[in-house]
Amino acid sequence: MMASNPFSSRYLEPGAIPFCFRDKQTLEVLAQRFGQWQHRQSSSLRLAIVGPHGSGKSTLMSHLSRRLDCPLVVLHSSTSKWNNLQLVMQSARKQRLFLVDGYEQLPLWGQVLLLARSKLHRISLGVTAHRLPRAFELLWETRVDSKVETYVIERLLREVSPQVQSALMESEAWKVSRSKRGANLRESLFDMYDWWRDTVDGNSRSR
Amino acid sequence: MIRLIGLQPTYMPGQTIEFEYRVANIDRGSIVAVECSVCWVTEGKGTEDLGVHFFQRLAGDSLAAIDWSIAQKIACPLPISPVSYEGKLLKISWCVRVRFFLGDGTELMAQQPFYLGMLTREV
Amino acid sequence: MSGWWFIGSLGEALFFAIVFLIGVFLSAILISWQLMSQSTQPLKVGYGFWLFLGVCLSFAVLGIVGFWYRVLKVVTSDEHREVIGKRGIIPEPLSGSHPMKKPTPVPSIPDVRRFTDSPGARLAYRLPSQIPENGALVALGIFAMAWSAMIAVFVVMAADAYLRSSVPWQLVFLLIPGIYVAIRSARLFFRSFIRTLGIGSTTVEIEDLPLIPGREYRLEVVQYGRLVIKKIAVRLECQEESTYHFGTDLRTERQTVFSQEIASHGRDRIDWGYPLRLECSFCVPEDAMHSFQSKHNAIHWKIVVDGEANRWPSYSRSFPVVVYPSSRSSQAIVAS
Repeated sequence: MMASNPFSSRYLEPGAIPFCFRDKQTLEVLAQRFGQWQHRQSSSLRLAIVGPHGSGKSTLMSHLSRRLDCPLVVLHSSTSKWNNLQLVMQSARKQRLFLVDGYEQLPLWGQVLLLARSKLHRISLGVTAHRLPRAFELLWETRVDSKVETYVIERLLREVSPQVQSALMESEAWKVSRSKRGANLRESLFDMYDWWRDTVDGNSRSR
Repeated sequence: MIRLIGLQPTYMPGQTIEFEYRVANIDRGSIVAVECSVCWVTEGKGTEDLGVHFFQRLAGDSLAAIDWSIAQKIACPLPISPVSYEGKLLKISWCVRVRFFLGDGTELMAQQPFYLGMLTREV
Repeated sequence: MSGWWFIGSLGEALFFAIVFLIGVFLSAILISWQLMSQSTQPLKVGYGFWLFLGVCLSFAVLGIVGFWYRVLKVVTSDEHREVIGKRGIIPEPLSGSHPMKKPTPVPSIPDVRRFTDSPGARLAYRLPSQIPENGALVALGIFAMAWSAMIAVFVVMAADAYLRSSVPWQLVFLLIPGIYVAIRSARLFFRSFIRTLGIGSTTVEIEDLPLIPGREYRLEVVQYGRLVIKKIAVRLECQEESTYHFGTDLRTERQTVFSQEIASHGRDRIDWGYPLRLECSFCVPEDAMHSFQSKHNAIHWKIVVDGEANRWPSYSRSFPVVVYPSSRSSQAIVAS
């Protein structure tokens, strides 16, 4: 049976690769901001992870959810905004702290409703968004640079030889994809699925 | 440790799959539930899909009646589709999975893949 | 039918579209005059008012009905309407060299009944088109009509205000892009309509469904319209489709993994009433993968008709089919 393609969706979905922090920042430090609030409990806290598509917001959010042991509501663009709001409001009725991945999938009036409920019942929220939403403080801004790219490729290809890793990073396909996809690293990784199939799997088949 | 015994690498559609599973080095009293399944999964560029063809869960009384010193036999006829496939964007693979749920919350899993039909690649 | 039919169809559609707009326009003038006029003397609501309003609305109704009757007559062939009409009395497929029991649904393969609910005129089944081109034309037509009607009402309102010596600048500024969209959508619709009139519809009939790898099937492709074709080719194609969906990230990718030309025809003239008929037979390779459908992944088989014509843009139309697992497995299905 053939080995899996390391650029399959199962290895790229949010949370599959540990988040790469920069500037000596750690998950602990981010979690502490929520932790400090939990001790006070006098007011609500609204923090946002901000960044472009495919830059690791959902990955960081899933780590935070595990670290804080609080529910994470993932909102999908294919689900109606009304259903997304219902999902979030269900959590808002039960939890004092919860996380929302894809805050922009809520209708505008739903965001207002959630904020009002958060203030009124002192519910704390952590959300991901492409831009810092109104009434939220910035928790972390995700960015993709060459250090993050190298880290992700090394994680994905840790079971293959370093030569393959460097072949990929130096391949024309990778360079073209990175210049085309910009901040969206996940899309570039999906592009490399074809490279792996044609180059690595193709060679192993022909052998 | 879970061992899957008697699985062939390839089965034809409609054929009956027969295998056994056995558990060793586990305190029998700590087993809360056992799940055994025959399923297919897709893998590739799309979100993965799972299709469960056969599923058996043992818990409570049905679990207490089991003698773990002997291997547990499973037999089920396989469907005619989807057959195993290795394409450009997706793969379809079949496997047998056995999961043991223990009292302390840990979960042990054994999985063995097999081909259904002659492996079909993109033509 | 002659070349005049082409001009006649287009002329009729244009005529009814104009009648519709006149109806809407006059109705709007009448209603705005009656309801919105403050300085001018309102019309007396009597017999004459209702008669005039009735005439205006009947223009609008006549226009919309005539327009859609003409458009729908073009986008569905006479043969198709005839066969659909007979569907109720056709007890079973017209032909088919593989008499077999109706297959039961097979796991993770699209239900074949979706593809066999339209009987063919010569062969057993008429395949549904993957992209309902005519549906897009109808949708575009509805949009163009509704938008033009709305703009006509606003134009009347603006004219009414102007006549009362007050220029509603806000409305005028809104009307400029509105009129532009109305003209563009009407133009786009009529260009598509002309294209539909010229190229005409393509129908594909097949001897049997589902397809079993290794077996041979007869196929008939009929190209309607009025055009000189440079080349028409029929292909059997297999395409993989994968959708990745998480949060706001939704991406679908398709890749053709098999493509085989099963028939082609060179330069020829097609006229109304004299469609081009291509008969051929084909075989799905013995070791081919069957059709597959799960929530995010799929393997589609389809018949693709590619055409190149003089003075018309190239076109490609797809007709999905269902392929079952190879013969050994399919015996198991029939027996079940």
